[in-house]
Amino acid sequence: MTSARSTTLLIVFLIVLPVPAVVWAESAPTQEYQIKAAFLYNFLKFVDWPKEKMADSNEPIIIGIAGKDPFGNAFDPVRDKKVKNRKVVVKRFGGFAEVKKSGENRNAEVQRQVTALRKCYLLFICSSEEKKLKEIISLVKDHSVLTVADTKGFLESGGVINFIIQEKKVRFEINTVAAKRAKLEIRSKLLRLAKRVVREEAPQGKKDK
Amino acid sequence: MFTQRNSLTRKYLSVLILLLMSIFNVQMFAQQNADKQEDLFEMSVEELMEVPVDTVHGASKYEQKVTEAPSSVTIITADDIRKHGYRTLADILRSVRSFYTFYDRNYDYVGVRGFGRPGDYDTRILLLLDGHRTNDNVNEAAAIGGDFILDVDLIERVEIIRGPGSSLYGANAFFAVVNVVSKRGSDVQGLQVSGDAASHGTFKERVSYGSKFENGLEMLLSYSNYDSDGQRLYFEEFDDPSTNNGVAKRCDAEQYQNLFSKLSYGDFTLEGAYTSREKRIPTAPWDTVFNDRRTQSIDTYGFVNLKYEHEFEDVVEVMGRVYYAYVRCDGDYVWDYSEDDDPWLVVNKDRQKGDSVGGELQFVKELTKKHKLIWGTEYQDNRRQDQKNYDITGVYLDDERESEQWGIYVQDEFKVFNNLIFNAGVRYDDYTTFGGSTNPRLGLVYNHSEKTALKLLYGQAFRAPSAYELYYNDGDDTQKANPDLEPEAIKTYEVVLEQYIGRGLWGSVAGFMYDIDDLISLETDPADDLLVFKNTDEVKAKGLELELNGKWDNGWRARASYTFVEAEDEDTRHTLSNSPKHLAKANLIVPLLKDKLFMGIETLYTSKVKTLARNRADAFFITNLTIFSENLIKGLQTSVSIYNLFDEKYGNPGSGEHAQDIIDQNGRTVWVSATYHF
Repeated sequence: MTSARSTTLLIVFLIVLPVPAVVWAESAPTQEYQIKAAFLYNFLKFVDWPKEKMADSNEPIIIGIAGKDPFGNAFDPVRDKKVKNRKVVVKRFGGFAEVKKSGENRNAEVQRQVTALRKCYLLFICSSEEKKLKEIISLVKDHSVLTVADTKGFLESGGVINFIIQEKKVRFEINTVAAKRAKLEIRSKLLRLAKRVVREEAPQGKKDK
Repeated sequence: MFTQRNSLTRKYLSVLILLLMSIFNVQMFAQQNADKQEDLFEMSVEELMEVPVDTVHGASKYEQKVTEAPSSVTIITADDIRKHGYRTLADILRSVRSFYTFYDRNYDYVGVRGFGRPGDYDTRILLLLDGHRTNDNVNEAAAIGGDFILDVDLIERVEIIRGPGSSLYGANAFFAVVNVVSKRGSDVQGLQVSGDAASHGTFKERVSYGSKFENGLEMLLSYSNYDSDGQRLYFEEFDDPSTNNGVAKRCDAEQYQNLFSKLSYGDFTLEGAYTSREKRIPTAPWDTVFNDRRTQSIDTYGFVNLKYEHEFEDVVEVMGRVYYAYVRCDGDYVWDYSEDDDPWLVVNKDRQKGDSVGGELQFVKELTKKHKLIWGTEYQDNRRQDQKNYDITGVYLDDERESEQWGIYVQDEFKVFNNLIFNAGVRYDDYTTFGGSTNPRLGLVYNHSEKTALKLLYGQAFRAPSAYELYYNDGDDTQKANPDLEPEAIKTYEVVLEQYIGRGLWGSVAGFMYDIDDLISLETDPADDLLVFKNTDEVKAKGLELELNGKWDNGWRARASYTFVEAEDEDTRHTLSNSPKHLAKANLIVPLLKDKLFMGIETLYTSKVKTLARNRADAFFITNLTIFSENLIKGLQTSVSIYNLFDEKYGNPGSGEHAQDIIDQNGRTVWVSATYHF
């Protein structure tokens, strides 16, 4: 075979090969996040929100995703499911650029985002927002939001539940002090399954783990 | 011989098959993926906690030393191994970017980045098993064929770290470090019995038992036995009535047995391995008598390793180990010693024995948030490095040696900024045979974004002269020793760009350049016409590597790579022998039935190479196909593999000891395997 022909064949081969896989792969998230999505759905069942938040029984339970969404279409099955007799809805918030501390300085768009954020029952903060964890948590502070993430040091920053991967399986840890602060009651069943439960917090200023 | 058109048709055929299978199954997978997701939402929290994660985001968790390497790493997992039907380490390495293997019907050899001289042992890659150096202490060679110490079915993953690794690992980490990680008792969990049958009267059996007990003790025990009749082979170089018209009958048999055991409890792991392999040599090398099956190689390796690992939270991570290793390489060569027409056949015996004891201590500490330091020391006492050669007519070599070697290393991973890591390391090794060698490595890793990484690497590596090269001689009859040999040295420069292209798909482009000095080669000394090993050659090479890599949770996996390299001898400016300019590989794993049936297809292209006689071994295209099933019947795994699917005729260059300039390789072979899990 001439070398021109073999080169062409080679190139065709290499290009063609991953194409079908790529085309198909576009819609599928990685398995890790499929599992985490199922976990988030389950958390809704084992956490109780204060009566004020649950007042309107027609309102759906909102799962918010803040930051670069790794879930893809992992939440699709949730469309036909109900928790606490309410529909479950997923809202994506994208990244947070500048979050100003004082309320009056925010422009209308940002204010809308913040209001919508506070309406969430569960807020998953993506690892893309790693630097702004404390700010986002303080934004939803008095609005009974169950904050969840999969970032190192999340519980120490005031988050309620954090995912970790151990021996290739998904595990989670819970900060009950943060839960209490958000007026959330976490059922003992979930606490029992957690890999680690933080029941008191170190004073601020100590070295982060 | 095959016409050009036949070859071409075959190649288009393989592309077509792949395309069809891919398109056919796209629809099936979209549906299957949706099903799987539904299932997850039906599970309880306890059940979700038992689901293993296939792909892990972010920094991959490698074994300690490997994490620190800024070089490009290829990982082949147990899953890849069974779905592609890899039966030896050579099969695995052959599929890896920039690697190629060749076989002389005695041993399997590996070439990296255009360097794979016929006749050299595999001394320029460091082959580790769970961190333990398996290169023996007489030849410094890595065994990658049937002589590898661990059954490939027990491999959890193989980490191939391209580039110079001496700054952390010492000698032999010249072109690459290959770290084989064995399975854990809990990965096997139970009793596994395996039976294989393959072409040319080949049979293999394996029994493995693995378990993790309540008290935390984890154990893995395994025994394998392999027996192959081999083929009746024809060599035209011997086509003469006096040498059976070129036909070697029953001279290709291979047999091996290996034993593996691993016990771990808490921070301690005790690992022991043993293998013994016999291969009859049909090619009549070194002027041995043709078609006499008494010419054979018998290689035995064994080691016991005790390791302690502990992380002292926030203080330091410690690893300490001690080991004992043993090697015995025997060669039987049938020579005709007669002076007249009356043949006088004598079996000449080469016996090599090696014994070593050693230990290693390593510390890893995060000095500050920006500096992660690794430092350690290694020591090996070669209590025996003996070589003998004798036969009924006398003893030609009886060399007994002892030597010591130790090394000390340090490496700092400096996080200059969050996205810029500067990696600097150096290691000093001292050998009683030649003195010292210092090898630094510098690397820069820049993460332009989560999806893009740029790596720059400069490293030096060395290869110590082996006891064989230093001391082997036959009483100065045809070969003499050279105890003044110096180590070989290599300098490598690499630039790598890694880019995450889209969901699950990674691409990388790398450019490299290396410069080898003091390459040890067997030469003829003009003064006395004797063969002797000398540090004579210099080699320079430069090349380009491209790779696409994709892994998706529905079970699809794709790899494609292309390597271009020009490797030349600096004095003659000639391209090296057995150095293919182009290597192209493509692998695809297609799930045919969710979680139960898979097809693995692999196509490897190697361009033409020069042989020792300045001829050419033609370019070739090999396609391997494996159909793997799991749990079609509960507890049963089966696989059917067809290697060299299109029966391509191809050959690898022979070396100095062969009359054959090109040694023909296997045509189509079939392998069937069944494993039952109790």
